[in-house]
Amino acid sequence: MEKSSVAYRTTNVDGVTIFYREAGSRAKPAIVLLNGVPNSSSAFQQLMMQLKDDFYLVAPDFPGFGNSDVPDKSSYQYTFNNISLTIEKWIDKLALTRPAVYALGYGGPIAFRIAIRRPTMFGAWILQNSNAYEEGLGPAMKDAAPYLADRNPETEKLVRPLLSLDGIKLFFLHGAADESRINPDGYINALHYLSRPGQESIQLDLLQNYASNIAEYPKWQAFLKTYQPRILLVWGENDVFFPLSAAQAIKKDVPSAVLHSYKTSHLALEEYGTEIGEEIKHFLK
Amino acid sequence: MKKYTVNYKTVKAVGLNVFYREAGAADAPVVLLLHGYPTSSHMFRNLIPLLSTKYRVIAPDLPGFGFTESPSRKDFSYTFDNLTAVIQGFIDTLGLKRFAMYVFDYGAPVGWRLAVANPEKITGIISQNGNCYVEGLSDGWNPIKKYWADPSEENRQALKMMTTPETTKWQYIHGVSNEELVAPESYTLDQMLLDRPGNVEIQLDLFRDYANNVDGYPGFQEYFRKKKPALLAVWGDKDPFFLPPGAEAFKRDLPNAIVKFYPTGHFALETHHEEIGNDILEFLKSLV
Repeated sequence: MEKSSVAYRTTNVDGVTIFYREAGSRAKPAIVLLNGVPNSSSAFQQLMMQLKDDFYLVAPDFPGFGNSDVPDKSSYQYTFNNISLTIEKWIDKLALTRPAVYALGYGGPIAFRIAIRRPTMFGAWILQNSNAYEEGLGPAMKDAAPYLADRNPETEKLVRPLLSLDGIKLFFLHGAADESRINPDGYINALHYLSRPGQESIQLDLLQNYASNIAEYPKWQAFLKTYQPRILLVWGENDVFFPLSAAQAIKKDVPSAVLHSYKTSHLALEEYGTEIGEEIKHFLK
Repeated sequence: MKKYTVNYKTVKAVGLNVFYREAGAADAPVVLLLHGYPTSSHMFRNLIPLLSTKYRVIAPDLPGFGFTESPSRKDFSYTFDNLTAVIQGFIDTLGLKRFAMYVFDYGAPVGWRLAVANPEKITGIISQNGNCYVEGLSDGWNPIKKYWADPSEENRQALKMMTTPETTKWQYIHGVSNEELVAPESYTLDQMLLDRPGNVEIQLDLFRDYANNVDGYPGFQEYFRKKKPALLAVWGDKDPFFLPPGAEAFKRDLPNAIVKFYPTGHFALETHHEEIGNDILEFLKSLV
């Protein structure tokens, strides 16, 4: 029997091939792991290796990201709403019963949008550097605000560098306690995927559409207040996109939420994956 | 079991910035991991956490690969002797006195040279599809052998097909029972690094110089017979480049060699790192 810890699978959702990582036994409690820029499901590779004996883990690449299909803009709308519909169908195809969700960055808006439609979809929430509150918008999001408000050649100049190697390093390294703990494979691979022909246009569309998430924040806050879901907050506190204030705002509305912060970047798993993995085991026990 | 953080570092050795991964307790016995073509220490990403629970694991990238500085061909002659000189400098800079070494593919001819030059440092050898015998060479080497026999520009250019995205992916999935078990970032990252300006020419130089490794086999085998290092061969039995007879052949010179096969391809760690890792831990326990 050939054995591997993680399998790299694909499935078709409405004509779009969705790539996903799968680890662990289906008999174990399920966790759906969601992330977007800059590194998609590969952000979870090491965490999946760490948790695979205790959980059934699945992590998709959103359409346009990583190893999933990149449908043409004429046939697929790159909006958070549309991606959330695709990912909801993908979760349904896997027939998971009340999985926990781990949402990082763009993964948060996808999970919240699904939860608004189906409030009991996720049995527990692990939120990491993902936002639902105005006060959770960090300096990099404030810098991008003119672009979110009005897309034009001038405002595009503000955000285009996010897709360069320096921009990608902002997610990986900015605020890290010890850069020597961060694997350069991660940002080199992310650069590869974001440098593909057509990516800039897709990523800029989606980034501008983040304005629609900010407009939805009040709905997500109402969901959190009403349903009081079980939440673990694991946070890279030096994140320039969604700093610790984003986690504190959630905790204000869901007082039972457990918060652990780490002196690191947006992609907190890069430096504190082992610690975060242990918190997840403890939280979901 | 304690889990150790992996650190990603660089150190100057023989004037070059050598990138390496390091994990494990600073006072634990050292295991040096030497990667192959066309990858880097990236190939050890799943093995390092397993071995670092008991050992200090060190995995450098060879010049021309990964994140180690790759000087231009006019400043650095890409031969296996020179790759070895850089890794020797790396070992000396880190002050490694004794270590076990894991050699794979290109890491093997580098490792054999190191062992011949530093027999007192070697506590044991793990060869994963790291060849030292002509019977291990498959027909997959024929285009390269043709270039050795006639180093014409035409024969050199023909080898560029070894550096395409299709070939790189094929190296990873050939012989694997289920392609879904191979992480796409493996061949994606390798290809991105091969696609750097000037890198293909570096690789063509090394294809040519590989002839010197085959010429060196008898000398390396003599080292085995004289110094009798403990050796574990862990071999993907469907490797299209290095055949199982190459693994069995170690026993001819090292009757105590342990030879294990796994039903997978060239990059056996992609699918079998847990099995191979456990066999290595068992082997390392037996070393003095």
